[in-house]
Amino acid sequence: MTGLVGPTLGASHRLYRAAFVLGVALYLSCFLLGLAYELLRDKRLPAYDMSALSQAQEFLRRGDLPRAVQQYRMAARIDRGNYDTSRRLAEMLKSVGDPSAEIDVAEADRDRLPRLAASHRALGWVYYQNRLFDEADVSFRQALAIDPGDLEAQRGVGEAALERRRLPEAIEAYRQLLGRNQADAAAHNSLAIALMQSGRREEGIQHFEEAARLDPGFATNLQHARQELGAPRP
Amino acid sequence: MSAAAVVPTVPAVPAVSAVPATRGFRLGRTFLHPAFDYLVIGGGLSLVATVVLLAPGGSQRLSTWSAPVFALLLLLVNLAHFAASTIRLYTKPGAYKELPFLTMGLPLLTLVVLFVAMRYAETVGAHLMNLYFTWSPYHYAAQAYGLSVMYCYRSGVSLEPRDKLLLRVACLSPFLYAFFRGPVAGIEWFVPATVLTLPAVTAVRTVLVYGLGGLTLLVPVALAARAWRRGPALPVITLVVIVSNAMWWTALMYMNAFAWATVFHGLQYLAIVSIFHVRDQMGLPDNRHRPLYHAAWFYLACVALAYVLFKVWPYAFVAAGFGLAEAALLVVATINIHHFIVDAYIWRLRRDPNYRIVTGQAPALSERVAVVPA
Repeated sequence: MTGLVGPTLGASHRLYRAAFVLGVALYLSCFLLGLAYELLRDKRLPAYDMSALSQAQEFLRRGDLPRAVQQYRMAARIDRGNYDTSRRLAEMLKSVGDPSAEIDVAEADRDRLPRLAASHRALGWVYYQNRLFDEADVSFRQALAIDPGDLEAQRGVGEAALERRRLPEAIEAYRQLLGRNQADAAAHNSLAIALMQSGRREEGIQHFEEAARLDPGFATNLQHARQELGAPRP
Repeated sequence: MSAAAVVPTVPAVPAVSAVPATRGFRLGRTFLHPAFDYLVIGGGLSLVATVVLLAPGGSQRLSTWSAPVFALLLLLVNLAHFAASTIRLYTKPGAYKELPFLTMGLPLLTLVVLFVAMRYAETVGAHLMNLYFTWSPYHYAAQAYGLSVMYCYRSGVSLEPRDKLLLRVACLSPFLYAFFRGPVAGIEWFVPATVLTLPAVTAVRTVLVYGLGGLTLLVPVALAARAWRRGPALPVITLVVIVSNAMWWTALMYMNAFAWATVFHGLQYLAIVSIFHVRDQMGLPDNRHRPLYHAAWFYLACVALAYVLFKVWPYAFVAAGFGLAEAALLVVATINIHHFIVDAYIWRLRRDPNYRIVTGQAPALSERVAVVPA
């Protein structure tokens, strides 16, 4: 050390030197402790691809959901701009059957990222899945106000309206969605349902046909609709 | 190596002849080879990557990199560049004497800050994270400015105060854009959401974000136009550096591909710091090695230190009972902030041997130039 700072040291240099020696000792202790911990626990060196969520993912693999949630929650609280961590936390909370916490997380995300359309849209779907359709509608519309090109928020507006039996609103929302992407089979299918429920069965059948053409998975709906069309109207 | 023994004795290199202030552009005087300087230090590679990303299907092509491969790339380039500033500090001749607080006091202070942040992770830790995210675009801007001015000096271009101001505006625009854009860091860190969501504030902020975004992309064009019409003839690499940084904070950010910007920023940094390290070492009277030896030693030391700092250190806190989530995040934030502080000092040119490396001039001229911050 003496060689590092020269032979004539003032008081401040002596203080710096003491701080340096203490700092180096603490750093070395930390590094050795970290190395020893991983070597003794996992019998290997720390992985080069270790991340803040490595431990949480390990807890998940072992089925220890509460501890995984604790890790995700801590990461989300420190790294508040990381929307992906919050989203994964919300999904995890839902999977452990805690919808209120899932809503809390999504609302907190929305509050942290009020200018991000995705945060409003994600909250909208959380509300929707918990059958809070009015709240879902508000969130989807806020997402659209920020980003009018957010197609999933547009779909959300339609789905929330359909669930609340606000059929003209739902029809309008799906038509707008199809105006941007004619090849959206799910939008054709949902529009068809809204039209059928509005009594506009022929139009509904046409959209079921289009949905089935684009995605054969929707063919069953088309069959049901045709059977219904063949039956006497109420 | 004992820094006390180091007396800068760079052999007298013929001074750069004063280049008349002409208009237009010039290739400029590079450090190693024009292709290397333009692609790696200038950030030309990142512009190629941005074009690939912007092309149809481009984002899919780059996102096919598997997570472990990308993690390795980050370790070898981005994480290594954080370590590089520390190794540069401790191997820079005369650093202990010139910068006693930075070399000897700051490490302990950094540890204390990290311990406090770990203890109060959800409050102090979250603020530390926001400080890191807010400071980061400024650090990128300062690096762009430093490199731009460095290449001007190296190419013998004399910058008037107005030229410097324009360069500063060009380099700082991406920082201001990121500051007002957020989310979470920048203005959202300082101003409560209740204020930011007021319609008038939202409107002003929107105008600022779009305006600064436009400025970020337009000022380099204005700079080029000024050089073309009035001079001084800028080295093109100066513009490449500025445009690269602008693209990182606009195009790559927009495409959710900013992780690639961190790779190119790290690559740029590693290249320039290695050049300075090698030239310092080659100038030592007792040097017995070739440049490749010094470059390899420096890089391997950077990778080794990066591994220890980023991959080993967090487990010490896990062993002490903390979770890996807070340990890894706060170690990253702390190392970043330490890097920003160290960088602000080790790139100073005034009265520093750095200037001779930039220009190849004799020491006597080193006192007349301004500071190049990083």
